[in-house]
Amino acid sequence: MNNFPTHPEEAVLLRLVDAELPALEKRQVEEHLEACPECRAQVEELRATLAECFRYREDVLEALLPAPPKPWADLRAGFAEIDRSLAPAAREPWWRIKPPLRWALAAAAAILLAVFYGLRETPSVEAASLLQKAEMAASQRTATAPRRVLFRTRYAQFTRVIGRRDAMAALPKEPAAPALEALFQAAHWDWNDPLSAQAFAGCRDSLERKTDSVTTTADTYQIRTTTPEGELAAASLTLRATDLAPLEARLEFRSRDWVELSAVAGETEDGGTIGGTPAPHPLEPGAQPAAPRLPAPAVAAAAPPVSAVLQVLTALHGIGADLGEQVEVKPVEGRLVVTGVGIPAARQREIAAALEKFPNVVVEFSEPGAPPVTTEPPAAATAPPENPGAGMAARVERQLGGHPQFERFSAQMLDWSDAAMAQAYALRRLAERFPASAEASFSQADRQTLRELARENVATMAGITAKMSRTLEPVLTAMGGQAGAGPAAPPDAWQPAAEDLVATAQRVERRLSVMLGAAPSDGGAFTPSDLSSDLKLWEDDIAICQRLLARE
Amino acid sequence: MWELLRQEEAVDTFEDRVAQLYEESRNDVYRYLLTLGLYPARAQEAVQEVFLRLYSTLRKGEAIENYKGWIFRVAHNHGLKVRARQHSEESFDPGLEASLRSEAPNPEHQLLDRERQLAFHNAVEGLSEQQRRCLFLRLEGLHYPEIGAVLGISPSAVGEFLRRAMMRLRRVRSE
Ligand SMILES: [Zn+2]
Repeated sequence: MNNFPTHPEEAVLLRLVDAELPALEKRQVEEHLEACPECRAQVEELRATLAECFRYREDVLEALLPAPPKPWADLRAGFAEIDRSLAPAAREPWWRIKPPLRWALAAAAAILLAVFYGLRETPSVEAASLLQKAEMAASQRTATAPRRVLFRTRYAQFTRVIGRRDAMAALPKEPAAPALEALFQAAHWDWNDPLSAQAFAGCRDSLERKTDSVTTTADTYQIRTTTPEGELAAASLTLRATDLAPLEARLEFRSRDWVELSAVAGETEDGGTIGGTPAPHPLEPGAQPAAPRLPAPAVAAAAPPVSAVLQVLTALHGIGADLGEQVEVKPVEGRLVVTGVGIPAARQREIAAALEKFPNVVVEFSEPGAPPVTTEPPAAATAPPENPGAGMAARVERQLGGHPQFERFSAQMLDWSDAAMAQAYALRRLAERFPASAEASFSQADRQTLRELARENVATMAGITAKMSRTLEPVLTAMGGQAGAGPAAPPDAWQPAAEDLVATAQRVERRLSVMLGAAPSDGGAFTPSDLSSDLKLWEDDIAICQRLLARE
Repeated sequence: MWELLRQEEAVDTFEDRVAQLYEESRNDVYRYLLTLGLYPARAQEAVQEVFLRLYSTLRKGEAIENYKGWIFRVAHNHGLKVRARQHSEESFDPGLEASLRSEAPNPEHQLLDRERQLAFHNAVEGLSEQQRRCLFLRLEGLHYPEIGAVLGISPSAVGEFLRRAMMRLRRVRSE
């Protein structure tokens, strides 16, 4: 008989691939696989991914990580010392017992390390040499090719072309420029080539007292220099790791004003492109440089700008039409097409009205041709009696003190769970539509709009999960549930965090439905503790997401 | 007399066993410590320390059921302490991406697509710390309960971290 009337969870399939399933469960899953091409394909995919991981270990980790700096020591001498130190003290008077060799080794190692690290570059040496290399690279690279630099201050934003003579003539048109130029000159920062290692170095060299730090990410180096003297309090320069091209600079003045310079991607006269960040990315004082940024994808001239997409999404969000999967926003040939399938007429009118003010938006509604494809199996009204979930439902019912209470409790929990899932899916759609690499190239305003949308989803979800948790936790605890350890390190951008969050939310939803008898068990046994842990994990995921969304 | 002989024999066995384990797995443990952010010289010392500790533990008569699990657990904990002591500096960054970009493809892997490797590497780097640790320990052949013991989390949490990691890596593969 088939113990998995529905597909086993992905986690179960992974445990099969990882040979972590107990024999009985393994047999059951294998039986299911025989009958289910879908799951077989999924298992194949998992196997292939795991194989790729092993190849990665071999081709990248084994091949490219640095070899041990010294030959491996023979440990037998160390063993002998340990033996001696463990031998009964009576054999030798205590003053003759030598300290174990490994202590001596450790002491010698400590001295060596002190020497080694004493010679290692201090941040200021490192910063100076990095700047020197960057200046060298710049002198070899672009000679006189003009390039565009975006200036941003608290009050203004403009682009300057650097390295072309007529550009200088055009400059005074920018009202903010003369004041900035004066600030730059006071800071000994080269106004004619402001986004360059040489400009940063010029300013840095002029400082009597300064503190440097160098931060390295996979893609960038960031040099940051702070000083107690003069108008300029701190400056930072971000260099691309591969060729030390300057990507961004930020000047922070003691007046709390700041100026950000960033390279604008674009054709230069020699046909190369400069810079990876067409839009500025504010660096909080002392913040890590942003996650690796990719050059902005070439945008077809006709494609509607991101800001237009975000405005439409915001309008839909305003009337709650971003929840549920039925409404989609797609750019088609320079316009934004909003499609909806199977939407009631009254709702259609609401959506059309909300989007009326956008000139370039087309709204298209259609009737569903076939029932919408859902990845989740439809929830059964009641669980079959042999269902392990049913046993849990009975326990919950006993906990609550009767069937009517159980009905109320169950309906409320499932409502909440539905509402929270709608927010989770909306969040995931945003994360998928605007991955971190794309977001990095957004303007400040677009990023804020996007974050605002995502933050509202998360905040609504947080409110619901808090209620779920408060209501469910006492019941679970009474059933012997206890939350396990929470997760550790969070992802580095809100988009992958949203993905984790949705995975957790789905698990809670599934298990909750099984526990309340609203869905058949999918074979993955779990305890009240597991559900309790999942809820905690969900709340943690929400907190992580909120933190990342708040981070600029 | 017999008692003494057996004891001697046991000592020899410990020595051989640890020496053999050391030879077999020191490079794996060393690499794991590098991925934790230890500098090469410190990682190498830490590995030696771990195996001396293994020997000392066995000699004190403590039972170790699972050597591999024990070694990685002690290496992990010791490694984190060593890394914390290097707090004045950055964690070690092996700059794998730069090597991947610069190095001529090894003739054996001529056919391997460097770009794909890079994409995969970036995806691995993009995993959360916990996902990456679970994955690396999994690639060292540890089982979920062993990984859980190393990282101080439950085996089912290990499964969940690995599932998330696979989900993300699978996406790169299929791109
Ligand atoms: Zn299936």
